[in-house]
Amino acid sequence: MASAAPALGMQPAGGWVPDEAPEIVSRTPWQLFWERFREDRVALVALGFIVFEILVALFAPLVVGAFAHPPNAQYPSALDPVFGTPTGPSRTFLFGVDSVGEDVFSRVLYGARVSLEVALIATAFSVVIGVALGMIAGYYRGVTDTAISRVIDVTLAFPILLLALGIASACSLGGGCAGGLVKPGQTTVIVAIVVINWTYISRVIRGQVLSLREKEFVEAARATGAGGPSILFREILPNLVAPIVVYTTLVIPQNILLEAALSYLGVGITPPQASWGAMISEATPIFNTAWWYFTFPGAALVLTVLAFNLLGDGVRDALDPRLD
Amino acid sequence: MLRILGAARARPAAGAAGVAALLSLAVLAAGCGSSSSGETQSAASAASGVATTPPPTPTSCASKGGTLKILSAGDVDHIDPGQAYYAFSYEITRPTQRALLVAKPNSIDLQPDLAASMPQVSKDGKTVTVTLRPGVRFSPPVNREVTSADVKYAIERGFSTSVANGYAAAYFGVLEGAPTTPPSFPEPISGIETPDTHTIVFHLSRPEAVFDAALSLPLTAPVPEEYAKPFDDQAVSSYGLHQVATGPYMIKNNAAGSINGIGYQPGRRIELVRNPNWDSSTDYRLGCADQVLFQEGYQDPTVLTRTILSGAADANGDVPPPAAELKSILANSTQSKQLYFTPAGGSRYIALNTSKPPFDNLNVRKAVAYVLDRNALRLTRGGAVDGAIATHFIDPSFGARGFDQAGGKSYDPFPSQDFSGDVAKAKDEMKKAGYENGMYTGPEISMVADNVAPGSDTAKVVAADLAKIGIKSKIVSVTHSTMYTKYCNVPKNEPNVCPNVGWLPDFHEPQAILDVPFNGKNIVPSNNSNWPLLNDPRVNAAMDKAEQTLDPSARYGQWGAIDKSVTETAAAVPWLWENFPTLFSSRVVPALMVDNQGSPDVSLMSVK
Amino acid sequence: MTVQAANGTTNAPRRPPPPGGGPWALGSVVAGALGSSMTRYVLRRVLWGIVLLFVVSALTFLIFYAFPSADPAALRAGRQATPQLIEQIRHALGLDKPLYEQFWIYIKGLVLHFDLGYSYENNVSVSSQILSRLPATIALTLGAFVVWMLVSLPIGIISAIKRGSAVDRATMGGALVAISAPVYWLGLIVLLLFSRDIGWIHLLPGSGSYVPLTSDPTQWFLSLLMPWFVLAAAFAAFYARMVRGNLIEVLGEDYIRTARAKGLGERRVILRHGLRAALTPIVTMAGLDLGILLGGAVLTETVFNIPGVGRYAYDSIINSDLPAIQGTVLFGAFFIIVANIFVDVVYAFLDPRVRY
Repeated sequence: MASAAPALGMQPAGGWVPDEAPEIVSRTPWQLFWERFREDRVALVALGFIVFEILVALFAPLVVGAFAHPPNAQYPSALDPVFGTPTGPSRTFLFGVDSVGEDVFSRVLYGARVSLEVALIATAFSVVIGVALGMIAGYYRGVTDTAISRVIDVTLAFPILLLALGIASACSLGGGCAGGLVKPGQTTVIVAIVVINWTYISRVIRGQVLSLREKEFVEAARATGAGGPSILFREILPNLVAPIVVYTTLVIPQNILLEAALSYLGVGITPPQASWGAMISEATPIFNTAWWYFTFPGAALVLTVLAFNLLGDGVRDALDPRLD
Repeated sequence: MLRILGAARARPAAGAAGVAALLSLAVLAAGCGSSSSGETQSAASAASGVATTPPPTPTSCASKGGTLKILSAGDVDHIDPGQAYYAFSYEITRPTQRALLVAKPNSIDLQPDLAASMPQVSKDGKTVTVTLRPGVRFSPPVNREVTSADVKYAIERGFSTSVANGYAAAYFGVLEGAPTTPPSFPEPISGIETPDTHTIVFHLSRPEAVFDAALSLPLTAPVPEEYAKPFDDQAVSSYGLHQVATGPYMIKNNAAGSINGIGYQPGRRIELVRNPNWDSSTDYRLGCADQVLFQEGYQDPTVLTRTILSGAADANGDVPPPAAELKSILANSTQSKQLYFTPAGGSRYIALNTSKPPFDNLNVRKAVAYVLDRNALRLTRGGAVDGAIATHFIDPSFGARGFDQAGGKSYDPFPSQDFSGDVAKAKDEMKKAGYENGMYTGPEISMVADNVAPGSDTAKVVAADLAKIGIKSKIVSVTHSTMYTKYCNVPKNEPNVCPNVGWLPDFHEPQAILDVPFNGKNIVPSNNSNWPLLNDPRVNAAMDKAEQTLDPSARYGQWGAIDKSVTETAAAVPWLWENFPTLFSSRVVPALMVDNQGSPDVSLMSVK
Repeated sequence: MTVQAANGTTNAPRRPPPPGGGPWALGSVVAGALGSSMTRYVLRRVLWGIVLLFVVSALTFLIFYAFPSADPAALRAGRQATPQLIEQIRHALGLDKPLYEQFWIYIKGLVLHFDLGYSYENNVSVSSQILSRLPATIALTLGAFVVWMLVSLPIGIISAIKRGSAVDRATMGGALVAISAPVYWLGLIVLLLFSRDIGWIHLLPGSGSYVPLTSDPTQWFLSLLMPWFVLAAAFAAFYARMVRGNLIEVLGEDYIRTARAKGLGERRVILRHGLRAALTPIVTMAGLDLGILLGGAVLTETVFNIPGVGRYAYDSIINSDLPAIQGTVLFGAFFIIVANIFVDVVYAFLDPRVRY
């Protein structure tokens, strides 16, 4: 993304040439990376938080079973009988209840599952598709490149949220779309995110490949008779690892936010499943009296995204120490 | 009837029975749960202490002049009075358009408006004669006196595709010569006769008991044909944007008659100004203020409420103050006097699709009726302050017009402690249906619900309750429009459960509550409102008979009995007879429409 | 729109920033000499932009008309309407025609009469609705733009100069938090804290208090303060980081070392030579972001109840108001494409290395 661009645009091809390493000990690029990363305390803390969060999400049923109530269980007794208003944080309900009497604490924990799952899967798909298409466009040029670039142009001309809403609304009925492959709910959100996201990495990778293909080692490979795919995989792809890693660390937090924004707008929710964006959206009409209902999911969202952003910064700094 | 949106205004007139019921229910509710029962009891009694009775009808203006401001979240459904079919839209049509009949202030009884006297119905019920009041004129730019031909044209245009009135066929389809296939543009109907300029005679192909009541709908407000025809002769009529008025107010227009961008800014505001051609001696309306502003777009109900309390606005148009605000208003002795609750009429219910398993089985449906926690359902809409828990479909505001005949409050074929559901009895019913230990063993059922609160909350509660008898639900969460036009209103696509439905009556006749939603003949392939797809021949026959029973007391007795039989089919489970709160600012003399969900009646309000 | 902050700004392919000083003058000389080539480039970009708009329009048609989430004819027909009436309405609205025919009619109207159709909701022309909402969106967008530029530039510059210091760490840390917060959540927090009617500190008018500039300038300004800051927060943070990053890089370049070696004061070095190079890509990216936001900042407008185009777009999607959806998507795409063309042309003009 743009803040990674300086790193991408300025540095050559991204690989380290082993001859530049100190003579005494030879280290692989990944060892170098890890050494630098290890010294970045902030990034380590962020990584720790993320690991913790993934564990909590995975073991949510256990945590919830120990401290709180099942996330979809309703407790109408926690609501005011005359006005139906929810009660706030208390001994039994750590984060209060929502307007149907569900335990907000449990729902925040379970919401982590949705956010992490959607963001990670959507990122994975969009990276794979984007890198593949970017490499093909950049290496083969010509008609393929034009076609792919034009598709990217068209996708980027759409206002993002409207496109996502459109895909979501088109696929939210009955059997979904694409012949039932895209079912309403989480799959729709993932598809919407992927359709938008692959374009950015694709452009970046294409730019990288455009310059890489002129390098000597690619020429040498060609001279030895290697074919296109082999060159792409053996010569070019390894040199793209850095930008891909950098991009991925940049885009995961953005996809977490995008998923939350979409569920805030009412897309992809399958009640009674908990999702942070949906919780904030439900809390909006009563946000000034039931402050707990939107504060806690929002805080969880901010902390998660922040952690990924910090981790991303750390990874980028470790990859390219010039900016340190 | 009127669109049951999340923001539906519902306000029927509560009789003494209603108040007492509210008090007892509130006490009941205060009894269960909550450590703050002391506080809730006082709030509850405050809730009933503040009237479900409307403010007294103003008989004169406290002052002449000034501006009234009504706040709303959304817009009218249609600005054309011949298309309007929504409680909020009636807040505009009531002060600007004079239909043949109108509800008496603070009553559900009808009185003549444009008509000079109540309609004369022939012995066989097939001829209805109405005499028009002289001296009623259209607003500029038409200016001339209203004639019977204008009422005739108004009704005729409702049948055309270009106008497409939603209830024309339902109530006026009985007219002789009424088109069965809608014409593209308005065409004459032979069954409406205008022997002279102030008499109109309706010839019906068969007696229709509610025809009189239907004459109070805005479709009967006069429309000048020579002025409106060019607008109506388009694929979609634009007369609404050029409409003329007959009431004390008109939508502000330019010299040519257009209101677009002037008095009507869609989604933003509607401005009413005085109709210079209105003669107050011909009208019960007062027309006190000089200007009425409907400010739209107030999406945050708390902000809307606070604005009214601060005096910067005068009443809420379509959304109620949220529960937290109601609580604080009722606790404040000055503010609580500005808050009025009006029964909405009709009920909210959970519709079970009787055309496919598992709800094609009567015992399974009865199990659902037993297991549903109506108390929890009511909490999703705001608790005891929101209204009484419904046990059948005709609501308390109907009084002797069918409510009492249906057994009143005490008729409850599926009783449970505190209305919180009876799992044991539900399981018994399931056993009768053949499920061994009372738990459902079939596949997941489908439910389509609103994706925003409170509709989504209602669906969650229903799903949780169904799970108690082993029924797992898959909830499809979509927008309101999608839910209706793609799923619940299309029998082919209808899921097993439509939890966010209800029916408000168009006027206070029990037919208007029970016929469309439960008569088998009203099942249509699209835009269907008989959500349970109930097609019980005995119920259908009883309804068809009651529709032609002209004698009121006989009729109400019949409908009362029909209400009971429909309830006992458990095709739909009613759960709320809703009260709608209207909040007025302290600077106005309040007046509301008891027949239209307690909507503010600007034709009677004045600035103090 | 936080999402846009990182995602949307990579619309332009990454270009190396032009070196400060000399080449700018060189560029204008070169551009003069290659006048006709430049014109051809501009023309090509504009033509491609028009093609893009057409394709976007067709795709929108495909997504929303082919898979409508609700039935507009049924919505218009009302509660007790008969199926025949609904079918008649469907016919009157032209919805029973094949998709390509509906699209052709739409394009004809658009190109020949600038007619964006009539809303299914209230039969008012879509273009008039968009135009009446445009001032609010422009006010929100431009205001936020000013705020985020005014905030991010000094912060980014200072952080770059004082790299590694406590100030740098603090501001960059704060920036990260601002980027991580969703705009609607931030909006709710700000409303809860500062809103006059429902907040804890009664400071500013809350959600829904927007009035047009012409009716009450003070209220207009006050009602936009919170939305401006909330919308600008993520952008300001993002841009501050970028300014810092770019400036640090540029200050490491050879010609900066040369300038210092020549004895130029540090201030002059930074302001004259460093900033220009560092800021050019920032300014162009800001142009792109502005283009995106002018299409409507849906989330901010929703939280603060500002009657802008973004809100209108969202509402029309919810209500399945097809002509309005089409109109607002086209409107948004138009601004994005125009911003892209403008940026590309400016870059081509400024940097002769860019091939055109």
